[in-house]
Amino acid sequence: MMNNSRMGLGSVVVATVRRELLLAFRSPGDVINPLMFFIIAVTLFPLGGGADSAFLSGIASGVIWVTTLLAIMFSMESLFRADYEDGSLEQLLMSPQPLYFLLLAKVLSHWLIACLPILILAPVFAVMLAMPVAGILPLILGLLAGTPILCLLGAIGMALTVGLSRSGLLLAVLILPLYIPVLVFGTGMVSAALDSLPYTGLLALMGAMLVLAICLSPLAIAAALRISVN
Amino acid sequence: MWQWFLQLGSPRLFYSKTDRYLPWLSWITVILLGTGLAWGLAFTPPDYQMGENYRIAYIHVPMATLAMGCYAMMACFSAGYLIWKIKVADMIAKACAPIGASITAVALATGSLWGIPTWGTWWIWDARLTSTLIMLFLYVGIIALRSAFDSIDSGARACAVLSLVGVVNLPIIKYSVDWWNTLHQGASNLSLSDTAANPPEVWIPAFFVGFGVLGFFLIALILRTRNEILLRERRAQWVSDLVEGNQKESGHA
Repeated sequence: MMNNSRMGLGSVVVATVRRELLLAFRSPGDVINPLMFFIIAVTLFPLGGGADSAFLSGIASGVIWVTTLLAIMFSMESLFRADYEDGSLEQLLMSPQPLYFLLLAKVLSHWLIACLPILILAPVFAVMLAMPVAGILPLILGLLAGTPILCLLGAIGMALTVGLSRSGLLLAVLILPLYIPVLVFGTGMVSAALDSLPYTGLLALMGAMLVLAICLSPLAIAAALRISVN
Repeated sequence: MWQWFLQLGSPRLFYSKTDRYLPWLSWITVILLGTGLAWGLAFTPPDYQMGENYRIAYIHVPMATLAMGCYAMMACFSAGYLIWKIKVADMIAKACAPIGASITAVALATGSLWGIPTWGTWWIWDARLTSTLIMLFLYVGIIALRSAFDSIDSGARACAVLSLVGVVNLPIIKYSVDWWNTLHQGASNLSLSDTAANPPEVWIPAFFVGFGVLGFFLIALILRTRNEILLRERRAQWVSDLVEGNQKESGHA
């Protein structure tokens, strides 16, 4: 990499995001697999539970949220695993730039790679699951505010387990309980909108959680990475 | 005070100090638990609405309270380990996780058993039940993470970070579940701890059992920590001296 000791913070963040995006588009599985998981898993619910539209509209927001949450959790592997194996994670930790912002840049690029495609397709699947139109906007707003939180929390879990050889299910046990508030408020926004109640308060709460996650989770990610790289 | 705190930080001193406190603590616990349970389960008058069923509260309430307290304690010791690198703090935090998980499981099980005669169902997605269940998941996660590491030191630090992340999240989870419950079910007023209606002969035994259970928790915690100390310090001279001393004692007896 470049000699980045003299680079400004902004250009380092931009360079990190560019590197991550470039890597993702050279191995497109990182982009496509979470999306395909999302599409296939959502499809399983009508097949397993029945295609009755009254039933589907009742579970639509829950299905989309839970599937998004699982897709993000499974995608976390690509955030640190390759970097850990080829040693660039150590370089990241030794970089003279503030680790806090480097980690935020990495999580942001992961969100662009793994979550944004899901967010774009989510309304389509909401309609396929017979969700009333009034629920679509709160669903998207909730996903926009909530998925970065899920990425940040997932990054903590991934940073804790990246040094272990097989971490898939352990990661699920660690971080799914932490995902519960986002799920509750995300689906709550949709049900509030469908009952024609205001949902902006819930969106504000979600935003508050996002701010909290942005402030605190890079610290936990950094501490966890230092343990794993050791 | 500070001196005493630092001394407890040394595994060896922790071991020898607790050697002295344990018998006292055990006797106090036996007396408290024995009196409280006998009094509460056999001698207090039955409740005018729930009859004899309410007696399970003597187990359920202290367990449910301790379940949360134990998590807070684990997080405090984890922080102590991360900040000051006190080894004993990590050993205590490690001992907290399985004890806390079993206490949470007992709280859920007794709650379930109590639910059948009073609510008519084993389980409802009530806010308190759900957040207790989630707390059990958090404990399980910490135990699983610790067992996944080969290196004691990395496992300890990883668990400490996870406990602290969990303790930041716990109030958020609790709040979100409370809110979720009031949205999805009409507010079913299931408050069973109507203390005003309870005469002293009901709550005094509860007080005894509560402190007895706390004593039991501390004994379990100390014993587990002592085992952990012996395991980790097994190469130290004082441990082999201790083992030899024990063997001689049993040889004479």
